Amino acid sequence: MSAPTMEELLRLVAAVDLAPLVARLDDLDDATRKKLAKPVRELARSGEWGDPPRHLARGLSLLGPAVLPDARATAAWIRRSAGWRHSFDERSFDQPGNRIETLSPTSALVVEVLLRRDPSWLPALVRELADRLRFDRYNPDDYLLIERLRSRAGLPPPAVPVFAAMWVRTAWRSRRNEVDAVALVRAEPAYAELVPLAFEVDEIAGEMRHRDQLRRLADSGTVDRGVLLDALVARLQRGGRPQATNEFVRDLESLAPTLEEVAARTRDHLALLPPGSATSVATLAQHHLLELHSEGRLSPDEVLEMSRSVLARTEKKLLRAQLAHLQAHADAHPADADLSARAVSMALDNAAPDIQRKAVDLLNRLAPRLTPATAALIAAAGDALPSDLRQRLITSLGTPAPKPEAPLPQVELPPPPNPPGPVVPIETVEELVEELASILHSEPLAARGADLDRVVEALPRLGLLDREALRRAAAPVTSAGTYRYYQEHARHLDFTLRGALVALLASCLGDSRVPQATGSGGRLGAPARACCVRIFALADSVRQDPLVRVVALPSQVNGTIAANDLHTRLADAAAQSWSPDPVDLEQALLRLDLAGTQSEPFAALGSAAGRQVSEWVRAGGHRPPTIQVARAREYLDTLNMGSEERAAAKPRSSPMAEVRAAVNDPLSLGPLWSELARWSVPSGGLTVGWAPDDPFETWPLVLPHHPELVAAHLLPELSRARQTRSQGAAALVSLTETADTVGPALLLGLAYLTGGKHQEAWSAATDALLILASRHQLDAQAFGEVLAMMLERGDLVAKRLIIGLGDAARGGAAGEIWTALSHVLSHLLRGARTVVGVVDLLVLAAEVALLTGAQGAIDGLDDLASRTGRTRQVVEARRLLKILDQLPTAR
Amino acid sequence: MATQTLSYQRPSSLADSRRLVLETGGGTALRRPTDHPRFFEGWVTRPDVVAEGLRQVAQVAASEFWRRDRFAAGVDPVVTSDGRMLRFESFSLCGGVQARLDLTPEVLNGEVLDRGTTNIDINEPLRRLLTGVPADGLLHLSVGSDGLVATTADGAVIERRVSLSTRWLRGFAEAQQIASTFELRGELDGRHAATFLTSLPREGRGWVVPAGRGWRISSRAAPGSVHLAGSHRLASMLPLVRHARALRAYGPGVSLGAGPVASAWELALPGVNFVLMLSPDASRGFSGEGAALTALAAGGAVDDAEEIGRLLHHQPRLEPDLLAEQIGMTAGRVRSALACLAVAGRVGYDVTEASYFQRDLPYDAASVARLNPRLRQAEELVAAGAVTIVDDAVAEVVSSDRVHRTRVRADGTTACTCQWWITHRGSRGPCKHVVAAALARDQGPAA
Repeated sequence: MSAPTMEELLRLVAAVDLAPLVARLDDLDDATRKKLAKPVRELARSGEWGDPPRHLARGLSLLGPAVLPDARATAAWIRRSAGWRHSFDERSFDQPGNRIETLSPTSALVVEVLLRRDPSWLPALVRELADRLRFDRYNPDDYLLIERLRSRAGLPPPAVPVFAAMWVRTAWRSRRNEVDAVALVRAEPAYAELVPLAFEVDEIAGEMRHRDQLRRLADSGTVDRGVLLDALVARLQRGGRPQATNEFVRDLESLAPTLEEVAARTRDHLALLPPGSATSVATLAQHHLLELHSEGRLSPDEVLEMSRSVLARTEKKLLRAQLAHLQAHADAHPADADLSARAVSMALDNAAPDIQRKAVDLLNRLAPRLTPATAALIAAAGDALPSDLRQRLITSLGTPAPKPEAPLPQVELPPPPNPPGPVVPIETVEELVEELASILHSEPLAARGADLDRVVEALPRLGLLDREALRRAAAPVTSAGTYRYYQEHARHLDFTLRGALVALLASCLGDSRVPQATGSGGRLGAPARACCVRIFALADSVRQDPLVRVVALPSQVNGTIAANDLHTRLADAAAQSWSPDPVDLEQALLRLDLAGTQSEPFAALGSAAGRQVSEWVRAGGHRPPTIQVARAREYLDTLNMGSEERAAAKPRSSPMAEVRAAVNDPLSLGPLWSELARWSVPSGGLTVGWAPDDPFETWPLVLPHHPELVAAHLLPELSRARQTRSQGAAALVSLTETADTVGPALLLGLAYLTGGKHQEAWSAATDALLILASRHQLDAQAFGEVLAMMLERGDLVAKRLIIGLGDAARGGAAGEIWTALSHVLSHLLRGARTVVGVVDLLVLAAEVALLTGAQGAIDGLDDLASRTGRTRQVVEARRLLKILDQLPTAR
Repeated sequence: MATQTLSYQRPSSLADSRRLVLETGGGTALRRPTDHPRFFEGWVTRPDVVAEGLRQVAQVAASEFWRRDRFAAGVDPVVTSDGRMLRFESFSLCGGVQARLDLTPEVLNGEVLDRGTTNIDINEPLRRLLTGVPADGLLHLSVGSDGLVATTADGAVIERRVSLSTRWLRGFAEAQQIASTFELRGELDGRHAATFLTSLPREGRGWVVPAGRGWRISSRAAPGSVHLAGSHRLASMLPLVRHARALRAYGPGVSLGAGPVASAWELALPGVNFVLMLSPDASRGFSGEGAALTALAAGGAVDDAEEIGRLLHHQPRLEPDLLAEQIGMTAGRVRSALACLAVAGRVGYDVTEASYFQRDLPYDAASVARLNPRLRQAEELVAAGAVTIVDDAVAEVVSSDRVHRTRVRADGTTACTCQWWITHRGSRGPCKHVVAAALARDQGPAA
């Protein structure tokens, strides 16, 4: 029969039944294949988005393998056509509704076409397909195609990790039948080579332990046990995602390697110990190596290498296990004292003071049995120990006193922050649009510092100057989706900063459709709501009187307005016959720097705004509101809880700061102050969540003279730092730069960040503590009391305080941190409630005491230190007590 | 995506934990052009440090730090011999980390046979064997071997086909240009280096500043601080930290409150330097940083680069001032030209010595510069007459039926009204419109 033409093939390709196409493809000769390759490729890209026309897709998936010239092109075609071959109608499901993992009918026809064609490059094609295979837990069709093709062609399974993993995933876990991996490999021994390869794929981690298949493969001898062990150890050496690594550790444990097998892989296990490997990996290696050591099967060099690697890590459990083992070994083998001591001395370099102390204790016990050479070696290794520990070590070793320790560097606090710089108004419409667009189009909303105010000030000013120029320049904004969205949804607008900016821009451009503020601000904080209220009000004012301009632009980047600047603006307003927007004027007053400001020049302006400012200056601004710590119960969503769960649920409560406006305020409350000067705990509970549209970094600029008040509003966001990443940390650092006094809200905020879960929080806390310390504004005693209160109530975890406080102490605020810590410890040691993590605070206190040269007593420390026993808490308490008693001589 | 074929005579091997043969493939050699250059034959001291360092270089090549994946194989590392030392370099699959291991004359005791750059094979079995190199004694190292024996089953060389994305290629090359803006910002001794590196949180992010004898991470930039994002990307240093003499941090100058920038971290080991260069964020590769776009777009820089390229003879250091004197160019032009050469993959930058060195990437290096999409698109815009110069500072560029206004600010920085610029605000180099405007200005009124 003659070779088919393209037209004939097209008819067959479009048919529902593809069997005739498969049969007709047998009649292709090489010349026709060559001729058809190009039109077939073009056809496959002739549909929408460069895909094949939908009705031809299934048939085309067969046509490629029939005409393409080589393995690479065919493999690429089969890979690309994976989506064309699958149809929901072709999937099979068992009775419970699970998908039956069988080759799809179209893929089976692809295999049929290839086998009938039988090209010389079929083995290369199988390899190419395996190389391109991706691990797919839910759709094994690509794997099944390769498997069918290679088995029917009589080819061995390709030794490719992903293919091996898909084989394990698919063949070992059939839902319909109990598949025995041992029987599978026995039926086709070539698969034995694939089992260790599967470990290369993260997604297969743990799969092979299903029904103990891995262990049975090894025990039955079907797969070489040594090869499996080697592959797993190599996999652990490589590292990777923690979850997968942990599963591979369990895989290795499931094989229960014997001592002989571990001994044959000693160096491999040693390589798993240095810092950098996962904790689970190091734990496993340490366990095996300690067993070897107990059996006397490690050389001295290997013992030292093991200790050096483990004792450079940070996991306390591993460190203590290592020291405990060395102690037990030294007790059981007195002759090994030198080696044990050298191994223990590796811990002297560890950064954890409690580990150093434990190592010193152990070395003290070993000291009488050490040779002079070893004693000298160990004395040298202890050079960098804290002074009290070094003294103890030297005394017990009986070695000559080493050269005097270099004095601790006098760590100076960073200098106080520079005075805030001026805010430079935007001069050109291009710059205005760049700044406006970068705020509007940021996700989540990002408006840094005074940028928002610069944009708000420039819009009416430059719009008045040349509205058409602004319209032309603003085209990238007005033609973008955000602007259109807010215009189209003007009546149902959410009350957000984006909406407010669009409203102001629309007013400045004279657009007819201006968004209206119709929402309440939802979960926006009060400072953000105040921003929105002002900008929406400005938009209204500008629409009614295009001459209106902004008077609340800060003079400095910290948000304050100089009296001269405000006077000039109001004088301009009077001269040009426009009145400032009342809300904007209130914002200006809240920002006005009252130091040295006279009321008379403003009164002399003769305008209503001037009189208002004059009255404000005479009154000295609003009376500061009262801020008190109150516990806020967290809102508990019981909607999806069962009755028992609801009954058992106990909502947590956290300390917040309630704000009450002063009752004797001589000034009337404007809309902004009404919003800002009050906050009470919601009766239904406090809901705190991610706030992507809350520009926290602009908050300090709303009330530059009331940082404590801003901090009170910021607390719900800062309290999130205990569980997740808080967005308010940068704002708190800015507040500490402007604060003259530090009240309860700022201290609570500092405490939340210091006890934060993530590094970003405690880094910001350290920055804030150092800024306050450099300005001598940190009331360390009050801070310590806040920390103690929160620790006692379970609001904070003691262990999480260590890094933030320790960094602040080492960064120069050791005196302040010592004061805070000593108050925390006094409260906790005297308190009736046991707080977890006190021992970590004791360890930190010892370090800080040495830094500051602190002396004196901590309430309750004597009692704790005098308890019997050698718990960590008691031992660390004794050490701290000793430092406080002996410090003058120790230093 | 470009596919490169790396050919080796046989797999690299480690015999008896004492004889390490690193097979070479491709690249260039100065004395004797060959497909499999031989650079070094001799002994190295501190075998455990060298072996672990090589293993970590290979690990970085096989890592995807953003997704926290680590594969069995990555793109083979590159070794450069300058007649004095050996530099092994690799680039992560995610394009955000570059690793370099320098073996200095302090650990090399043998004959440097040639100068040049080539790929080396570090296969998975070898990586595992490298963990077993003992600390004592010497290690015999051969970088390249004679080509008499072919050990593969079919008697042919080993061919490894690797797919190199254009992003990866550009990132590898552009990282050099970014590094050239770095300076030493801080140093820790070995003990405090270990404390700092082992105590880093898994996803640490911030600015590293001094705190007592050590370092801490601050939440905001300050002059002298070094940015660190994705601290897990420094994990390759951890297995080596036991041997560290010092840890040094390098970065560009930053002002208070600056945004994320790239950084480099040098672990000084006995006779060996291990350097990791990190992109500004784990989710960002070096390829998108637009580091050298300004230099590439500058008039004449490409011609200058060609001229300087002719003077390269694998010198240990390329001194801009000396080169300037040699060819009669200003030092500024030489630096721009070196930036072009870096982007073209022809020179690397060593932050520890603050100097360029010749390193012709053994890939299709010519394509590296050509593949810069922003430059290519900018050239297309200029060719299509889409650029209108309004005045000295402002230009209008028509692109995708929209008019974008670019401008040069008073401080020399640039800005544009396009979405790309609005998103990144200049933190990833100029956009294609700014580059097009610069090109059009260079070409004069005819543009």
